[in-house]
Amino acid sequence: MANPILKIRNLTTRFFTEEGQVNAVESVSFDVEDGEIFGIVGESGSGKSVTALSVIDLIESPGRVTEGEIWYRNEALAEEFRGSRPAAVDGDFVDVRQLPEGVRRSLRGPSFSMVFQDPMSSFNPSLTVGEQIAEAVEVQRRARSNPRSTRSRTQGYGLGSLIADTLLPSQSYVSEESMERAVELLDQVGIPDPEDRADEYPHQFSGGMLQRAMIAQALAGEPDILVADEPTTALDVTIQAQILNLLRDLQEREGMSILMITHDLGVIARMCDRVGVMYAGEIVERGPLGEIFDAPVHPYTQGLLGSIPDVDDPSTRLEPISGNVPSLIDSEMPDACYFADRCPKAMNDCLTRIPEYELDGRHSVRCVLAEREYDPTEAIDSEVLADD
Amino acid sequence: MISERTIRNLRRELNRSFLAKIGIAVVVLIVAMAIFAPFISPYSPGQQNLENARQPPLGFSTKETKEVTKMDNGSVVIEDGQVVTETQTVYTNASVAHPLGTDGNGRDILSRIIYGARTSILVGLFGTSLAALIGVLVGLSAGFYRGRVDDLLMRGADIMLAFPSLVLAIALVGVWGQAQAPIPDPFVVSGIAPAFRSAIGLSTGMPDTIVLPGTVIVVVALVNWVWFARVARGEALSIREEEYVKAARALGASDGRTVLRHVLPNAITPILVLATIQVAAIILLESALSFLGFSGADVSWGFDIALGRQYQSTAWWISTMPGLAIVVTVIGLNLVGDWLRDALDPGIEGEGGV
Amino acid sequence: MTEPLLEVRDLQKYYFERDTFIDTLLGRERQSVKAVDGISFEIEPGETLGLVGESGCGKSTTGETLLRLREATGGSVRFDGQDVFEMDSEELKAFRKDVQIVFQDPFSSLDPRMTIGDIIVEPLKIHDIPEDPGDQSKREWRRTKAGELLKRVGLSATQLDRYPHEFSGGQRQRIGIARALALEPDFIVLDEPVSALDVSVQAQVLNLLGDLQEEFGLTYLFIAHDLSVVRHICDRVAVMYLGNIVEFGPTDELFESPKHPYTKALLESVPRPSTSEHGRRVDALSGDVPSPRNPPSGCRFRTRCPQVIPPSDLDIDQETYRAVMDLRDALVVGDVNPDHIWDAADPERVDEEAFIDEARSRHVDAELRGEVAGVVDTALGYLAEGDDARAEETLRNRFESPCETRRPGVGDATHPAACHLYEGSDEVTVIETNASEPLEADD
Repeated sequence: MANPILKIRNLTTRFFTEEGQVNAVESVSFDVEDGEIFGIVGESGSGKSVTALSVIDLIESPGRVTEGEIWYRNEALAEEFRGSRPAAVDGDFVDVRQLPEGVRRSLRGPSFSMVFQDPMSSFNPSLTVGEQIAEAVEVQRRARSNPRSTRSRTQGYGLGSLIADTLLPSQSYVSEESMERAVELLDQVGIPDPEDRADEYPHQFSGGMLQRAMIAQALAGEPDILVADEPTTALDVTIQAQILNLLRDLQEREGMSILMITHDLGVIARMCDRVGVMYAGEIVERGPLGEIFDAPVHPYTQGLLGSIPDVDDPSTRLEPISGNVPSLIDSEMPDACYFADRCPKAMNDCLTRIPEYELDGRHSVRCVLAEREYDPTEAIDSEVLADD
Repeated sequence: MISERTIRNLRRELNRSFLAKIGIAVVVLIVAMAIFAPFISPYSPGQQNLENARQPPLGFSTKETKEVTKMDNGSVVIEDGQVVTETQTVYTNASVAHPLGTDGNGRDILSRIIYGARTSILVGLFGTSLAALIGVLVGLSAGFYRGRVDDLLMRGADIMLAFPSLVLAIALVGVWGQAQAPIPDPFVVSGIAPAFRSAIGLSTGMPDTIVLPGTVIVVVALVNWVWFARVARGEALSIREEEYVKAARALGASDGRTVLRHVLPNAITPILVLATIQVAAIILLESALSFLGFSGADVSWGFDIALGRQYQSTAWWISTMPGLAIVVTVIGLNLVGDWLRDALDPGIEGEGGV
Repeated sequence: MTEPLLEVRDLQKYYFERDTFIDTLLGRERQSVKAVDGISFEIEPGETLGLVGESGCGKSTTGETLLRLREATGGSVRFDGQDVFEMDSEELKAFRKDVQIVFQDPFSSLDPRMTIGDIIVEPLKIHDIPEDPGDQSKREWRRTKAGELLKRVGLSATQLDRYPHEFSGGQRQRIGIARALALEPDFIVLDEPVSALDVSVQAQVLNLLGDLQEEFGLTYLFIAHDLSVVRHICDRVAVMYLGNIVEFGPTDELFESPKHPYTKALLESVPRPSTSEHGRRVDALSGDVPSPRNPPSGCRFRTRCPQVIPPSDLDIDQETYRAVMDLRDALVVGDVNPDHIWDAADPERVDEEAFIDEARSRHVDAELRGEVAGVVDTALGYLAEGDDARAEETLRNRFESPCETRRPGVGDATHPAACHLYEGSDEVTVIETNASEPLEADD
């Protein structure tokens, strides 16, 4: 039986902007199992990247995770907090959101780490690539060398040591060992001649090389879960193939789980075991790859699959979804299924908020069609909805 | 050209920033002063009254001791064949008639500041406009055409920049002399201002021309256009790569049309912000030239500071008051510049929805 | 065969770096970047020609150069029998009435300070259309026309007075298309028109482009990096790599039986959105695209090619040969650092055997045997002694491939490929025959 390492429940993230409240992520639930690649696919503005950032606790003002639980399996943590915070512990799982700030921060690295879309802007242009990876290694090394107590885990990387490092320039923050480990990591991600490459600056790397370096950086803490947010979107297709191969190799070798965020259904198909399809901040359909691709229930999933030109078969005319990507501003969101105004099968039943239906244990969908057949006599005029 | 979005940003930034409100208030005040000088100025700026020379501003008085001939019943006292002198303490009190005091010739300082604002604002506005015209033209051409044109124009600009601006300005004034153009003051010539003044009981006889210091305007523009050129060039370099510029060329639009219709409007924001700051810089430069006596203006803040220099120890206000006027104006303009910059941040402009 | 609408011959676009006034003063030699390096193709009236390749291959530069948005460094473009590069300003203006372009970025291709109406009307103003507006004023006529165009691309005429930022990416792209249609052109260059769009919206725009082509009899040059989109919309496809066309042919033929190893690799790499894709391991091309500042000699693709041709007198399998070639390339670009190898093998720097073993384990990704091993070891021996040049020369003398001495070009067949594997047929022509030009040589 599958063994989840991460259980996300009703995760809700909102942004409080001047234009109003933006419901970026709306009650999202999914599990990531041990050693699997879970994919989240969606178009721009669907909330997939915000979901990733929410999981790894990197949402910044004006955004805030307002609700939901992030259950992470970690026996040691569960033991540590069983007494002091019983509400945050359930068996071997801890709810990351209920843990103290310091502990949450210390999870970034050894538990969760992230690979971003744009490698160019993810590296500091004024430091060498090696230094930046070694710094990540150093943080983890210091955390590990200290006994497991909440406070000491972040020691050595606070303000005090920063000042000390500035005042005593001889005392380099990055130790020799960390630098060696950084070179080793660069080697692991397939960068040729890593000793020399480590001393180069980000602009001397190509996009693909830099993406490899970022993966090396993310691996520094030997994370349980790697969150990859559009890791190949900025890359050409031949380089994308290299990076996808690398991610799969690493995942198999390290046994970690990957949460893969992408807009590319092809990437999802190649990489992921299970998929969640996001639309307007919600996961509208979720299940094993085969069921989502071969027997989609939600009309949005069907529409998405129908919009993609097939590189092997040009004959069919594309069946695009009409209309445009919806607004996520709270005041402009209907009290109905968010997809109803673009849905070819919208019915009167769709005019209320739709719950998540479980088709069987592993396939769930947020659509009334899970329970009933489409009846054209009950169809609503989607034009009416669109004008709201 | 000014979208609703821009106006919204301006208003929002204004509500947020106290300093912006002060800046706008100051600038509006100074400009109003300059425009309505013939109505509000208590006296003509040139009206002398030697009796009242060096009267201190309100709230101050001066005590002066001087040797005077001793008098007795209207005749000079002579002892031992010598005219006898005695030490007398003279108190000069401020009067409401001259709230900011009078200068060495007994002219009302407030009136001179009000009229001085005209010179400063005229030079500031015309000088900046001319500088912007030259600078934007050069900068846009350099940025749009790049290559040799760019090299030539911007190297020229760099050479200009290498000279200290004041020295360059003095040299140019020296070469061209001090051409001035008198423009009739519409309020005075039309008779509105004199009628208004006599109705409320103010002295009449206001000057009926505004002196436009032609050379100074040209000179400050020639000294300061480089800044506009640099900003405009930078903007043109980036905007020329925008696809809508390429699209315009693909449609067959001429270079002139492309630059005027597409490049300039999208480069206008930073140029506008720069212009506000440049008005302040040019007012300062004009004051410096006037102070040194190169502008030929006889009603100017800088010139008045120079006039007060010889009385520095006894009548500090003669220099200080016009000095304060300069400081307040420059600060006000800079605050407005900051407000514009914050509100019109090009990063905000043209962004789509959420 | 019909007369082609557009005929491109040996089109070249080089950029020159270190070309400023100061550089000239300091006597620096200018460096050329060969963005487009001698490509030729024809477009028949009414067809869609796809130009596909990865970023930096020169496909967009080609599009802009043939419209004279950039000045070409060489070659010729004939449109409707007229030489585009020879046109005077009058003729050029007329040419730009017949030829339009739609850009990739829906956010930067519309002037943010103009209303949609002004944007669509602008081309009409530039070309002073209509000459005779009838009983309407020119302004009214143009506005009506703009409204019709907007309706034709699927927007509403009531949106004429709105600004671009009020529209989504897909809608903006439709506006860009409406602007291109305003002058009723014959030919449109579509420069990645859908790559910035989401898939559901991308499909709408692709369908719209197809419908418009049918309705107005348009001819398209469709520039894209997405092979699925190209397959869907194009009649014929040209594949570009590093400023060259490597393969050219009817879409179905090219996709079903690709000839050039690069085309094969591209097709292989595309992730398919279907369950059969799951877990598929792609034999990814190794390495990165070389810099166009310093392109490889001979065949531009040979540094990454999985099918490089070994010298005819050498018995070597492809994997080993690729490994040896990679070692050579690494030597040339300076990716091999003998100091590191010495540090790992023998810090005393005496044991040359150990050095060679270490170097082989680090830089040669295959088992070497017989003659090959001998030559490689000799070369690595020179490297150990610090004589990089000699090491390089040793390898070149024995392993030089025909791919690096002669540059292949596409021939005249209907489905040509610029690859030495097809030598002897009319599918490939050899462009230059300069003997063993070293890798770093430039001009």
